[in-house]
Amino acid sequence: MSLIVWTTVGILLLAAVLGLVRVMTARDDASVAAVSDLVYFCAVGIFLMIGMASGSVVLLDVASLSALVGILATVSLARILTRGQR
Amino acid sequence: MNVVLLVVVGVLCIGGALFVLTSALAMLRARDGLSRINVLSGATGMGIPWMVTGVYVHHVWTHGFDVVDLIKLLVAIAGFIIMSSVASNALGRAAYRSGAPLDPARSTPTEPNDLA
Repeated sequence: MSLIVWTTVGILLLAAVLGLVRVMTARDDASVAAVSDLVYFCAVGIFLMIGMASGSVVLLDVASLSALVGILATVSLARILTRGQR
Repeated sequence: MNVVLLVVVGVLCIGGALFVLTSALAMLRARDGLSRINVLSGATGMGIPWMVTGVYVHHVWTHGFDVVDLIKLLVAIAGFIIMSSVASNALGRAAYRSGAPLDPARSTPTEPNDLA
């Protein structure tokens, strides 16, 4: 079980680092917004794996809440991109 | 039985992480902001739901079946899919309206969109 958890965490960390490399080389704001979404989902996945390894009981609550609330960050980034206009 | 459950959890978790990694690699290869917003849906539509399903299988394996947990799983999967679709739509529209540069090497340039 710990092999599964750490393999998954390693792949997700690699994905987050690749996204951050993309942020350092990107020139437009839309790429930065997309990469920030990717890093958010990597963080959710890493939390799920660490919680599964430690036997936490709130995992499914956290997953459903992050699914329902995660749209707020993306929509606010979209508002920032258009400088507050719709 | 334990080995089968272990393989199922492993395939779901590591496969979901590989979907996220594929999305990150595609972000490195895409050349404009709209394409990067587009390739993000691989991570949100397949990767994270697979990992949540793997966590649910492990949860049922250790704590037993409960209807409330199944409802939480379904809410999480539906939320990820619907949320990623709506959020990507809003983000892509905002990126288009903010005048983000499009990839000049496309064979067919993106036409102006009436809905944006």
